[in-house]
Amino acid sequence: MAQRCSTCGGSGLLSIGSTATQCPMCEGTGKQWDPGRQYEYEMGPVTFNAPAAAAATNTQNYAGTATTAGSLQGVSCQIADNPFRCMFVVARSTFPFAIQPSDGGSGSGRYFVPQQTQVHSENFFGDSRHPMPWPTPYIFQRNQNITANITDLAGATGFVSVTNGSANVAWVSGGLFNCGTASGPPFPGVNIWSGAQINIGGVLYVISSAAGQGVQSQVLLTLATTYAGTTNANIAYAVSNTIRIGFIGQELSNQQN
Amino acid sequence: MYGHGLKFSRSGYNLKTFRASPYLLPQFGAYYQKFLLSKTRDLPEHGLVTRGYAFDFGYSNPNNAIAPFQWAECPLVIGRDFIAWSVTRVYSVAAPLVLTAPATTPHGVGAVTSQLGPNVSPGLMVNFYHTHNDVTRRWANKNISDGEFGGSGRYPMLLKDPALLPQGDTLMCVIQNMSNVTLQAQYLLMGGEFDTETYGQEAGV
Repeated sequence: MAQRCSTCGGSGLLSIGSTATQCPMCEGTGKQWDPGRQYEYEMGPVTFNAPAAAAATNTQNYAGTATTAGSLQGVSCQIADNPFRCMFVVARSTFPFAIQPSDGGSGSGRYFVPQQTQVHSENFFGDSRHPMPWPTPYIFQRNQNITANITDLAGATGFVSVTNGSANVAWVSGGLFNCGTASGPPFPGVNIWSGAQINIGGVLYVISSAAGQGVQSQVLLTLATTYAGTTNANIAYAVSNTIRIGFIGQELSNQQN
Repeated sequence: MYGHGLKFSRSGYNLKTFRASPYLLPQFGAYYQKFLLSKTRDLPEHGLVTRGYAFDFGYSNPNNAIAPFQWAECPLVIGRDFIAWSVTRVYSVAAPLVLTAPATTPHGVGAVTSQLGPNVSPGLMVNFYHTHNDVTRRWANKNISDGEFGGSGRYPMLLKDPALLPQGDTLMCVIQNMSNVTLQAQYLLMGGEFDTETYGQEAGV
């Protein structure tokens, strides 16, 4: 149980003269305000459309997880021994992604957005200098999980054809090259893969960002440098999206709630 | 936030102080919050639980992407009494995320070429229709541009008067694609819902 407010004694009201008014310290809740201590939980990094799947090095927050798929269900981040009051959310990722966050500790899991919908990362997250506030702070109880279903919106894996000494990469099978733009508004007019890294046969190359270069179509792109490996008509490729999500707030005392 | 907010004054004159929330201080500074935030307080500090309503056109379900120059609508029924506090939006050119083989072999005719630089501004027009007791009210007298309604996760557009959407009401987002490309778009209303049956009045404290 939370401690009673030391100003109003837990009633939520203060007597001023002949009238009673809401206690300004607890805003009428009757509970002692707990300022908490600054804390941040990071979920991830999780890599989607990775060249090879990898198990998390830290299963409590999925750190180091890699999947060859474009989405994962139930990515989690475990709250430690104290309740956590989340006030801001931030994220850092290679490409945009869609997410459906929930509180894994509230019964069947409380979703913060309608259950059939995933939210675009540009809508939901800020960065460290401009964090997206949650208008009403949300308290995750200790030892519970923040969970999320996440979908990569831009990466891909598949097989391509490459020739030693050539910068051209031709699609063969699997995920088509991404012809889309980065997110707006306004329309940025830049292909989202422009300048991104592409893993070809285990070696990282950069997709050209020069005018008229880069992703030409769903089946043809050019690298910033020529392909230096052995000519191969069917070699694996991956353009991956590594996602980190930060929850910024305060770690509360164990007496809270 | 009101009770624990910070107090600011440009002149130092005590009667000209105003409260500012630590929220959004990085985005807008102290002074501009006077015009952007609600006059007396941000939101009730208790009784609300964090909630967002996302109006999705193609990100969550690729089938809902908007064809060139067409319009689409997304109605959502409000599950619990909800206060909308901020509006954010995003859009981009739709690209195939999955993976059907193109009609021809690599380099062949028929493959979708890169859809770069539509160079259209605004990219979309938007309006919201709020239906309460069979009466529908628009949030704008005409469809307005993305630049006039909505922010981003880094710079959310705040509603100076947070909008109360009672349980059972319908809010419909209508988007008109202004470009000659297939458009994915999403509007998000963030705020809080009064979930007293699950959380009690003290939720969010």
